[in-house]
Amino acid sequence: MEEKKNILEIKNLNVEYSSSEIFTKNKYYCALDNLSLNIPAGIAIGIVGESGSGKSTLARALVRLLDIFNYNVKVSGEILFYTVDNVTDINKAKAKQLKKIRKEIQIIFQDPASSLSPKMTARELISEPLCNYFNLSNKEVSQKLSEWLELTGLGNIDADSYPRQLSGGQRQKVAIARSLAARPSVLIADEIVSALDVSVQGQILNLISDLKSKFNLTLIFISHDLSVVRNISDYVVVMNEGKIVEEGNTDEIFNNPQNDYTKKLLSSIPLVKFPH
Amino acid sequence: MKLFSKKYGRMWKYFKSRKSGYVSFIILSGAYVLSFILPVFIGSDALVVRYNGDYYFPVFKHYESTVFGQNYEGEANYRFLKKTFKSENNGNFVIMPLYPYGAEENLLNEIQGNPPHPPSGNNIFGTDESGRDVFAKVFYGFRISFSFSLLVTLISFVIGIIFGSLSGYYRGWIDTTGQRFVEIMLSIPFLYIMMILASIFRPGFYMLVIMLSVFGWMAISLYVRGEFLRESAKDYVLSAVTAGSSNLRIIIKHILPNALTPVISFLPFVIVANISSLVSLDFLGFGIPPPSPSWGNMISQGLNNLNNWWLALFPLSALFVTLMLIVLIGESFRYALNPEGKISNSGAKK
Repeated sequence: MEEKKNILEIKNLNVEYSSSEIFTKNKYYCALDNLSLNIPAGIAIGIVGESGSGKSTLARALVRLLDIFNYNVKVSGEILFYTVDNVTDINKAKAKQLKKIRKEIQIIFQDPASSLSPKMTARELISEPLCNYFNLSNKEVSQKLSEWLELTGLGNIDADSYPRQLSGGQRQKVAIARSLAARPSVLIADEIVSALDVSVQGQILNLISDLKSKFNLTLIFISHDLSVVRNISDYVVVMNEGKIVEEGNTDEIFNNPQNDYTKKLLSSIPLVKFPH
Repeated sequence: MKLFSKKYGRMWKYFKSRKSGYVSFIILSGAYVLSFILPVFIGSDALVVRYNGDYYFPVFKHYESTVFGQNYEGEANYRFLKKTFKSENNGNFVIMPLYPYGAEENLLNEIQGNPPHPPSGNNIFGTDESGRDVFAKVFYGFRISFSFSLLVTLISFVIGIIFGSLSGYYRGWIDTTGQRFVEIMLSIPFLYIMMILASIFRPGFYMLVIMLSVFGWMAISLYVRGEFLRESAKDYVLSAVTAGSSNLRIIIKHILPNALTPVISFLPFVIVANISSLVSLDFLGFGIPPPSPSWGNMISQGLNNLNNWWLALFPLSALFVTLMLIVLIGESFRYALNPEGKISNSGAKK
């Protein structure tokens, strides 16, 4: 661990949601509680925990998506993002820096049916980051588009189809192509297989790990499915109630868990084999 | 642009696949386009006059009656001219429109008896209280009613969509102040304001358009705001943010198309409502002043002369047919915009 340079350092991250009802005192619900975590560059880190443990909140906090539309959320602490030549605190970044950071840290959401706009075609969806983050001519955009479709195994679909015309797996591949088209250095996969058929899950996981090594990504893989995390990640973080209860190399955690919660979680793994 | 042509092509295909809406669309849009060259088909001005070797085109230009050797005040009466030329038989001729009566001229000196005159071979829908031809008035009234309604709908939709989307997207103080403003606007009694304003200045066509638009956008803005609140909580908006899109692009390209489906389903009813509200303003006497042909004051005449059935029947049927065509078009349009609903629709039919 120590020999690698950190790409993300989370220091004392607090996320609180408040209920803003009139005539009542604001109640706070703590989604992340003083969370600190270092993420080395190039690693595949798995974050596990049951529903409501704050995994997705963490994922969204890393891209600063929590406070865009929600005025009842309080985020404090630091998230340092290291690039080759400088460091930025994501929580304090201004709009311009934020756009750069969002290019570098991409997120794939759980359900591709809701994370892809139903009124946009695959072509429009994948071209979007290409047009926004790079200065490309129309010809270059369509060339890149077909490259990405090819890379994610979508070479055979009609680029002008809407998400509803694609299968679940194809949709998630479009979402992956869209995220990677920004050429990020960090990829956050937030439960990307839990909305999919078991038969497609393996396909998507293989694709993700292939692309990870191909583009030398840092992968933050979030899942409640422990066997999936075991397959894909080098390092595992176990979360419960907004806190990290245990972290360590995958083998250590799975073979010799120390924390009670981790033990409980591990004992609940159903026996499913994934092709790898 | 090539990116999007296919998308709209597909929408058009869906639209066309429903015959009732497609046929209504062709009828209504055809009628509306033709209504701009209506004087060629229905009107009191001759298309062509040949008089003493010269050609005149009165449809496009005003001629005093003395030009053609008549001695009335004002414009020449081409129907009389036609008769005179026919009896003289010296090479002069007049070509009249298909239906040679205008909407704003009275026919008191051509038809015997007191107005309103019942339908006859010449005036197929009869004439009204002041002897104007009802058939011509119905058709000229269509152009005015429909243009009016389209303009009001367009302006109020644009205002409502802009207002609602900003309110629903940015939330916070923009939403709070915006919503209070909408509530104030909604609580103003429209009809009283219209009566007061109409008594201060005589409202013309454009004045009415502006006033109805200013009081007509709030409902749409509420719909759009609600949709934006709902849609912006979905993941695709967040994923558009991470794809680097600006707020404006997210509003226009991502959320608006998804927020628009219920608004579009609302569209035909708004057009219908605007036609009806012009009709009711005319009916109450606060609308477009006579002699401009309007369905509203035709219907109110019909109400005053219930024995003369043609006065109410024809404008009411015109109103009915127009509204029905619009509703049919709206149904197909909604279907084309929302193909997700396609499955449940065809399922219901089977």
